[in-house]
Amino acid sequence: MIKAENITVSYPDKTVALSQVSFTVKEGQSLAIVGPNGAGKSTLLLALVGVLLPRQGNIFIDDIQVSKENLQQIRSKVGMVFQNPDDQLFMPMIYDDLAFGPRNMGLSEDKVRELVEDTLERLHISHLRNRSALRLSGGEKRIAAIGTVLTMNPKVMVFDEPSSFLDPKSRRNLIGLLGNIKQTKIIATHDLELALETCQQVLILNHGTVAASGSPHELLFDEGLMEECQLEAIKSR
Amino acid sequence: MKSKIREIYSLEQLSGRDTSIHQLHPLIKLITSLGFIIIVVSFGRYSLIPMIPMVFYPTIVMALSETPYGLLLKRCALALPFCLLAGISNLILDTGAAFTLGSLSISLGFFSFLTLLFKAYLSVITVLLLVATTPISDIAGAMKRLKIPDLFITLFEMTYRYIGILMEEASSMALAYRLRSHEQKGIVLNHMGSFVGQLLIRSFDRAERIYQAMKLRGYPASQKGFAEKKASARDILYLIIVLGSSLIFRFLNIPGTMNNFIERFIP
Repeated sequence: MIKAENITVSYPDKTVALSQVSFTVKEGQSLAIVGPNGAGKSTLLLALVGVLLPRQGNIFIDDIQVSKENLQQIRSKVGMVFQNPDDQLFMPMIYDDLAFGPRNMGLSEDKVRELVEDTLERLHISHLRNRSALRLSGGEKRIAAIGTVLTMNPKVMVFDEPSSFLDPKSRRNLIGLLGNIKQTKIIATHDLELALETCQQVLILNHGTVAASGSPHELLFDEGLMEECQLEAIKSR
Repeated sequence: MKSKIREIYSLEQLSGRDTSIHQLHPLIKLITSLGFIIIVVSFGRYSLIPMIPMVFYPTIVMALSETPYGLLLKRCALALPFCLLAGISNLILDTGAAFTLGSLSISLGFFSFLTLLFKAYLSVITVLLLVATTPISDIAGAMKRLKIPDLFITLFEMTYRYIGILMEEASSMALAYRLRSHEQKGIVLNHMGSFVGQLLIRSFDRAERIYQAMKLRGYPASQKGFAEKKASARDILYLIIVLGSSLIFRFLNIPGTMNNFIERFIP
């Protein structure tokens, strides 16, 4: 379970990015964090994995508090997929990128190979094994970036704008893939349809505070609320 | 610029082939290449003629690995300006006469300049052949087995990976600049500072995000990785033949000996 209690996060220059944000996500559930640019979505994700620590309030992942002392435990439980796959795919070959996390976990090379091959097969990207990320399409890079986290088998996966830069077909594949990921998911996105199809809960952020939270069907069709939060409501149910 | 980026990586694409050279153990290929370069560099500054037999190694490897010569030569040419710059002082400072060709006097400086160019050519082509016949991850694995520190290996792999990204970034910025400056040819000097500055800031931002992505996947921990394939007798034989013959060429002046032989026995 993930629990955030009244967290306030500021940047080193003292700008407050998030103020008094609270939410709870039960194990196996998915939460979409939506909001306009600069609302604090990515900041919230970085706080969940301990890259930024809250100035006030607490975050708990399975009752372990996100703090400097617990970072290793937290990062073994939470995996993050970055907005730009080029930030995540830094090794010469896709195989090595998928193996990077498990190798750091100290697993034997046989176990690493098994994990990587399983993940490649599960994501239907075995043919990319020996390719450089530089030669992949945007959709392929995105799937490979998800693979780099899946090989570590985290309990929670957080995604930063997973559908950005994708063409409609790749986006559709991604939605299918997200639906098949059994872990607890937190997805920061502008893509309200993706949120509707993949998440049971929605948290709407605006100017660093929670504007609303509830089920996607309750919130994402509400034109008044969406307009207030500089978003565009989904038109038809 | 996009095609230049593709060109950089096209050489490594050849590393997936299955020739006798590609099948050799990566560690053996790495040691052989390093050894060969050290021997080449150790030749004296005027040893152009004794060094000529050293050309056999890259030529044979190129043929056996079916690496296109044109591709290698183009990349070798990239290193040429640096060698010319380094060797130009030889032409100016070392003016003693080496020999005369008819009425033309060839200076020692010119001779050492050619030697330097030849050394650079052999060294660069050896590295390029290593890249063309061995996947980068295998080279990194071989470096690991040579006990080179993890930090250096990670830097090596990431530099290779991100050169392309950085060039793409610069290419996008340059395109955006050109599209809004029809009258100018290239980036004017006044704007160069902010252009390079922006590129630096973007690179810094990206480096920050990559480091975050690495930390979130457990870095820094010792990367045990890399398959522990053992070198076969064939690999060892390759190493002995290449380095042995290179040492022979280094210490026996084969062209000079042949010249003496011809002069003595052929009137």
